[in-house]
Amino acid sequence: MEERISLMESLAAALESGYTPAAAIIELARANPELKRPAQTIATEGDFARGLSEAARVFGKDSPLAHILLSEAEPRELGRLLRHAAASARVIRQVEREREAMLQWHRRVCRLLSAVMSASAVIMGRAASLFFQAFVSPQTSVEFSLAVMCLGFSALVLSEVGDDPRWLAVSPASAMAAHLLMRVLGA
Amino acid sequence: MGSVGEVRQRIRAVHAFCSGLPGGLPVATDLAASLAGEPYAHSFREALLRAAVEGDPLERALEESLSRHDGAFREAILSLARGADLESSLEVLRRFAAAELERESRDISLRVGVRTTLSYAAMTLLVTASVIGSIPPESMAPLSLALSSVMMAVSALRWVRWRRGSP
Repeated sequence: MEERISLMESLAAALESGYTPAAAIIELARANPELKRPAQTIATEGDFARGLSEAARVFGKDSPLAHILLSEAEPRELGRLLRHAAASARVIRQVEREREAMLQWHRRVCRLLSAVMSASAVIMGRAASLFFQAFVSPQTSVEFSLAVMCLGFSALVLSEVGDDPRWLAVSPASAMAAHLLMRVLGA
Repeated sequence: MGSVGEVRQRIRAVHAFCSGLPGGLPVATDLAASLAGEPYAHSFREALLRAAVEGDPLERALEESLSRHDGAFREAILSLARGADLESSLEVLRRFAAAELERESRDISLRVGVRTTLSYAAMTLLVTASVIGSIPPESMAPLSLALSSVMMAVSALRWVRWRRGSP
């Protein structure tokens, strides 16, 4: 994204210094290989409109630039538009970074919740199993059932923040650790 | 409570509007109409149409067509439309995005809290029911498996949605 914003700023500078959009693209294509194709379309095929569309696509299919470039504004005006578009793209990039940091924080919390939930489900299951074994039947155990149920709940919590599904492995690992701990403690 | 993707849609709409602002209000509205997702794009298109057909000033047309959206979004667009200079328009965009991120974070916390509470409540309820004999302990395994499968399927759909929505 940084390269795209820099390219946008270079294009804005070229337009502000008096280049026409076509000349600016051809000039910038010397240092930016991604603009070579649009420059070629303009310079050799003479298809200005298609060249501009191709140049706009370099900035991403939904970049505001695509529309600004095709709005047929006067070059200096276009330069001003582009400079502002680049500045707002920088703001959005910063926002995206902050959002990613915020989501990352929530993901860590959800992994922790998933682990704690699974461990406590197994502990609850062990307590219930001890009760069944004492009063109902010595073979009855619900630990595994609760661990399976908790796997579903963990998936629900992790998918809430779009975490990597591989973190689902935390749930059985934590359940197994809780089970071993209880064995060690003699429960 | 808005969905996770909705926050991005709203920021994207304000960003598009802000980007086109140096070209004037019609360019900004046109840009937002083409780049924002629904239902926001529809409101911008409606404003353009109202201004063209009924001859209303675009600012008033925007005010009317954005009235169905919430106050924060409407306020951000209208303060940009009311002639914010370029520097302060970036500030409006920054402030709006920060407020949206805070709202998204609060929504996620609330949803995760609700899910966790429900999970514990469901597990406690099932264990208690089997201990007091309302459901036989042997039926815990198929019940858990069924519940877990449903939740896995729902989660898989959510993961697909997240993957589609990621940049």
